[in-house]
Amino acid sequence: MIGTAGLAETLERLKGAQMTPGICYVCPFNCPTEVYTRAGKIVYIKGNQTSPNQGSRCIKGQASHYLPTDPERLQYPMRRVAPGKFERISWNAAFDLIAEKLTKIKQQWGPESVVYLWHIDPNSVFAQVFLTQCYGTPNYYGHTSACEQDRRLAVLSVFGHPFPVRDYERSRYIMLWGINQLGANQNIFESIGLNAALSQGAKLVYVDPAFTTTASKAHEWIPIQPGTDGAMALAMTWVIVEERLYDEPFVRQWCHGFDELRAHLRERAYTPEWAEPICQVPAATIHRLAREFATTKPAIAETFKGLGNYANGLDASRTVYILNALTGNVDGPGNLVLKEWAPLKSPIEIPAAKQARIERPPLHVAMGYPLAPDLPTQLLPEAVLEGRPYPVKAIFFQCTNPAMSEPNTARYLEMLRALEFSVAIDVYMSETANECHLALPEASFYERAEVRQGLWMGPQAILSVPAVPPMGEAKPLYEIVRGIAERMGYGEEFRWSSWEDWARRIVGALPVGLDDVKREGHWVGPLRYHKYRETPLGTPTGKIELYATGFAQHGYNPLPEWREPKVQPDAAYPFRLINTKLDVHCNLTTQNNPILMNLVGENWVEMNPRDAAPLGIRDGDRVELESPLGKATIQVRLREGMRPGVVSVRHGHGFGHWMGKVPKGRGTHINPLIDTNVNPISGGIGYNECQVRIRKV
Amino acid sequence: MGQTGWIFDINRCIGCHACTIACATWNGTDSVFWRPVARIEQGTYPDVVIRNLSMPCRHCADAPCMQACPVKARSERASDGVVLVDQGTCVGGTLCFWACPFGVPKIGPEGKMSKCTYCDNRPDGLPRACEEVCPTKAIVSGDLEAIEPIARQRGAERVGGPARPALFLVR
Repeated sequence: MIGTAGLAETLERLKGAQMTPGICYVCPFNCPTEVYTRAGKIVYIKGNQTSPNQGSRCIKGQASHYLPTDPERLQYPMRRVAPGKFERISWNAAFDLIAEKLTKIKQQWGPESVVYLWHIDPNSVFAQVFLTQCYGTPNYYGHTSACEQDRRLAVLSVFGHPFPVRDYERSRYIMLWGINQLGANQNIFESIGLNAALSQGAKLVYVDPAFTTTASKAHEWIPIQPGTDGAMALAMTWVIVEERLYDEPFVRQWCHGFDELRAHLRERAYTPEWAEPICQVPAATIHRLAREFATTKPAIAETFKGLGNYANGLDASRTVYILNALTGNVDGPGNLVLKEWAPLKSPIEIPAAKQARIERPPLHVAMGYPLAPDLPTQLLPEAVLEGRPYPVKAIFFQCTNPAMSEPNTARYLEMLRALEFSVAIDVYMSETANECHLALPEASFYERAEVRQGLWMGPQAILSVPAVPPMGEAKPLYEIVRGIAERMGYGEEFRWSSWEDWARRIVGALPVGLDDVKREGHWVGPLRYHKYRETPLGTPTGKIELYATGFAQHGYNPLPEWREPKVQPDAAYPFRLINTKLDVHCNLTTQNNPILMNLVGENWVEMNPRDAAPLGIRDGDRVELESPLGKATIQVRLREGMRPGVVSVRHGHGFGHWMGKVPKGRGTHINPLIDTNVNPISGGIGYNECQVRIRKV
Repeated sequence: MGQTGWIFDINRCIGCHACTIACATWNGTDSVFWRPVARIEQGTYPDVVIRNLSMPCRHCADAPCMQACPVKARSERASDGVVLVDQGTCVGGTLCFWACPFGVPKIGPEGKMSKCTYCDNRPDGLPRACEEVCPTKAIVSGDLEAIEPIARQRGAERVGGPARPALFLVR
């Protein structure tokens, strides 16, 4: 009785509404949606049924209909007149001020002293073109160092691809390392696939010190010693190589560096017996899992922040991807798929004569992180406060709130307060916006148009039609960039009479027209597997690299090594603090939603009862977490599903004054306890490099 | 059509609460949750299990809430046994809440009792709002006789008790 034919039309009729295609932007996985609007109000939303995302939708997206009506949203351009005090100004005044400051800073310091940061990237291509091609700064960056910096560099070095996705549904053996696929509650369309695989009898092995939702559905939970996944993965690799369980024809034809890898594993003796005391996983288990993984096909070994949150996460992640490569589990059905992109074009063309020349290397290169896939944001304060590697004078923060999301909060606030010019582009007056010279109201994802890559396995373009008008004077980013560009001599290039004009340019190379994409909300190309058989990969050798030739060129070890995490618990600070997500909220963005706050109004720390008992701590108590850097008070929940010696905080809450009345004073922000520890090659942030002591308050 | 109801698969449910909010959004109930979700963790480290339960009205065949209501605000739809509350008649007596073995009835902001209406404005053959959004297909709706083969295939059993809840449960 699950009939989806005509479902949208029926729902339209039932709600007396009109359906327009949309894109959800609560989390970065952008589920295509159907938005039902009646008399200017959104009355229902659901996942787009016709896209291969299978109508995916989560609680966060479902509750987001609150966003276009939230009276506490930023609605007008605001200029800071004193710390914490803002006055409303017109858009014209805001654009004039930005143009004036950008011109002055360029003359005095050079355009590269201006940095642009985004978290989720709605329409950011407009800002990218303007800043990099018109203004002349190379420093257009995202949030990857806080998110998947290690994973990104690992997959780039092994597969030459920035974003492999997961064909769970057709897989028979899935091993997840520090990726809580079902509990983080993002990329729901992939979770649908994982659930389907489990229904069909696929085996799931889950490696994590915490018993998460994903652990609860796994056949085996490996409660590994935190930050030691690299050792276990190297030991599994050793077994697969020594017992000749690798796919020999595949490795011979498509992989580079097998002989070097084998010699390296032998020389270091990365055996399961070596790994056992490090990981606290029995050697026999490591042997068995290696054999199972190598002989059950198709298989997936995957990782995400759980490994990247340690300073040793890059090599650990690379090794997990090497497990796939050695066993021939690459870009096939039931494997990690090297996602093919839709042939989308830029909405804006800058003629060669008007292109700015970029004079200095991008910040990440000048900082000494040439292979970093994105800016190592923990090193940005040095550039602002000490001019190293070169001065940064102005930062744009679009849809990003580093005053809350970055560790070493005190240093980040110091940096924000030292900037010569700062602009926040956001839907709320966030903690970061509150420190900026200008806060500009961006239109929410129901109030703007968007055409971009979808994240399904094959080529996919997704499109959003504005469902309701922007709230107050909020503007979509393309209108904000246009206002600045017009005042800086690029009005000709940033010209359109409606969003369809630039949208038509973006989809110009698709075999369908804009009207088709508008009607469906998406376009999908054919899904192709094993593309490496036709086209060399984006690695220096064109092959899958077990030996990272790009690393060797920069003087880094091209083979993965084991290193301990930088921070270790000790007698003074006996617990490791790890970070995880709330499934009902999305990071720092949904805490002004009263529906979601009714479900989960505060975050908490999770602790094993056998750790709590000697400290006199009971379930529901308030405790003080103290690291060498700082302290915070938070409520505790005791659970058996936590490795002793480890405590885990749900990230996202703890708003002081900003972001409205709903979250004010609720929850605890623990980032001030975490010091700066980054991976030396990728610059990825080590959020779990944190030791704490705990006492009841 | 005979008695209509649910299959719920505890093994599949990941406790993500999408059903809770899909229901609240479709039915316009804001923060009055007609389909709450509970998470239960049991065992001793490292042998731990988590079970998640998404709990709507079971539309019982012999609904105690109907018998308990002093103003007869509750009725059972003849065509399919769906139990409905007439908001105009309800006076917020809360006796239904005490009578229900499952704690289903909720007090709305106007002090009236409200609960799952089985998406009574959706025609037959369309998924219910909760069912439509569930990423694990843990929720199945329909005529109990028609969905019984699916229930059997998943190893589900009809929940017992004198109220005769219209629910197959996979444990």
